[in-house]
Amino acid sequence: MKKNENYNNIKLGIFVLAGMITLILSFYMIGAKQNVFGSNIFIKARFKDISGLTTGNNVRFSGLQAGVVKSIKIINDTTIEVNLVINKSLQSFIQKNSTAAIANEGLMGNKVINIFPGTIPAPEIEDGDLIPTKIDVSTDAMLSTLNHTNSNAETISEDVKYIIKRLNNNNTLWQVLEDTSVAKSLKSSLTNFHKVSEEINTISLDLHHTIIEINKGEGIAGMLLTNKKSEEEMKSVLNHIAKVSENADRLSARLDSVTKVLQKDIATGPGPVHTLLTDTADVRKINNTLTNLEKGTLAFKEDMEALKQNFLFRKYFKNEEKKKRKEDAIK
Amino acid sequence: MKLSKWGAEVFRETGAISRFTGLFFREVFSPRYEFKEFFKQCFLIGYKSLPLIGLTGFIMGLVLILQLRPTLLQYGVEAKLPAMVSLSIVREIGPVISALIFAGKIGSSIGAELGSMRVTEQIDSMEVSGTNPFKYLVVTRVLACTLMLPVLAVLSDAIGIYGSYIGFNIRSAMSPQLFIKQVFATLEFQDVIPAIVKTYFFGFAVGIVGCYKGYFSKNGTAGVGTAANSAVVLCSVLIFVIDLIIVQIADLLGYN
Repeated sequence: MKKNENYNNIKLGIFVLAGMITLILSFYMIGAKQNVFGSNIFIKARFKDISGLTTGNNVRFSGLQAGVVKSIKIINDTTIEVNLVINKSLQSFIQKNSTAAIANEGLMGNKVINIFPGTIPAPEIEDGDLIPTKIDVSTDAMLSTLNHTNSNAETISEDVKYIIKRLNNNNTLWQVLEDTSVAKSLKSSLTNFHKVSEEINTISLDLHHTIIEINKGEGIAGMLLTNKKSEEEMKSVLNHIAKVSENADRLSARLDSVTKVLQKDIATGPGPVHTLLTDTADVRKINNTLTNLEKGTLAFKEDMEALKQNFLFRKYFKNEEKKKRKEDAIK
Repeated sequence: MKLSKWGAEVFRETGAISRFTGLFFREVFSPRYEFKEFFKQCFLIGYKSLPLIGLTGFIMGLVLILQLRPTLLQYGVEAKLPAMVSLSIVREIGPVISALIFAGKIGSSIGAELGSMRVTEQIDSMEVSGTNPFKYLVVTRVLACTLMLPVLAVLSDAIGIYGSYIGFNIRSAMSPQLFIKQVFATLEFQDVIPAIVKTYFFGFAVGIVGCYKGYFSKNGTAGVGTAANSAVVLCSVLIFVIDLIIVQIADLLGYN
């Protein structure tokens, strides 16, 4: 009986110990994750915004689990100091110029602090060091940019809405669009335009030919423009023309002086022209003379008619008439 | 009329259990301590319950994985399965299922044992012979329950996580190292500690209720059955009520 009880107690001891060991082991495993046990060093990093980082978040060095966030302390309104517990075995690899940045673990995961190694060789970090930080592009920043874009899109869509509304309310545009006659006239104008352009085309072809001919030196223009010989001839012609114009100039100057003399003579001179043009008495005289002449002519006409009737001269006049008729018949 | 009678009975029972608990706390610290009986009860209550609770824990872990797998697969987060199952086992399912099985096995057995002792007047004869029956029977059992259930729950959690590892490897493949690593990557002290503390209260409730029902059983042999039955029912309900309260308190203290 006593032995049996002892035996039972041993079993009980094993049972309880198993439970205790399991519990302690799990506590150790959880604690090891948070670097509660084992040798560590503490370093600090200062951020402007820790975007939801909490104590216990992981710290990674080049992607390797290096420690956890031990505590977070606000220093002033723009500085938050984060204390990091770093595994001592990694101390020799992390340099003083390594930079810390807050990032997301996966798309929706917890926050992590990533420590990136420095590019220039530097001494290794020591306990209590403050390492520089940099700002990673966070989801929040991306979302805020997206927000900005969205508000822009909103404004644009509002404008587009307004424009479309105005277009819809505006009947003129729709009439233009719906009117078939416009389309017809447009079509005919296009046809005309087509014809015109064809004509222009032929004209330009002709022009082209002409230019080719000119280039070849054919035709007058061609000869003028391209022939060297004709060029010289042209030069001499032009020289002649210049000489001629010079002579003409001289002539006109002489003519001018003659005219001046004549004018002077007419205005004041003693010659008959002046008298004729300026003396009114002479004019009257001339007038009377002309009247007398008219009267004389009429009298002469009567005399001639009388002469025609005269038997002496009748035959002559008849013959003259016959000759005239003959000439007309021949014509 | 009937309702008021039922209400009065509930209040009377609550008061009686509270007095019984007070009596336990008075007796537990005063000497003479019944170590031998205590260890015997620990063996019977703790060690003897391990196979049953271990089996249920194992099955819970395995089944949970199989049940959760299709849903998580839909979201493409099958890799989070160990984390999710271990968290649910450690935080809630392990302690509560262990306590319920414990209530079914131990609550009923204590109720029946003490009830039959009361009915056969063994308790009365103990008093006559000078042994404190409360100290000898109740204190040892309640203490054993209180201390053994946490151990059982911890072992049940471990066996449950092992079961989930087996369950995970039915369909997918994962090395035990990675599985354990993922489990402990998820677990925090705030997951484990409230869950362990909770089991002390569960064990205490099972012990007190079982002992009370048995200690004050009436009506002969029929009363023994009633005592065992009502002990199990009341224990199970109390476990859930305590669970509710402790989770709320843990939440208030920031353990969530």
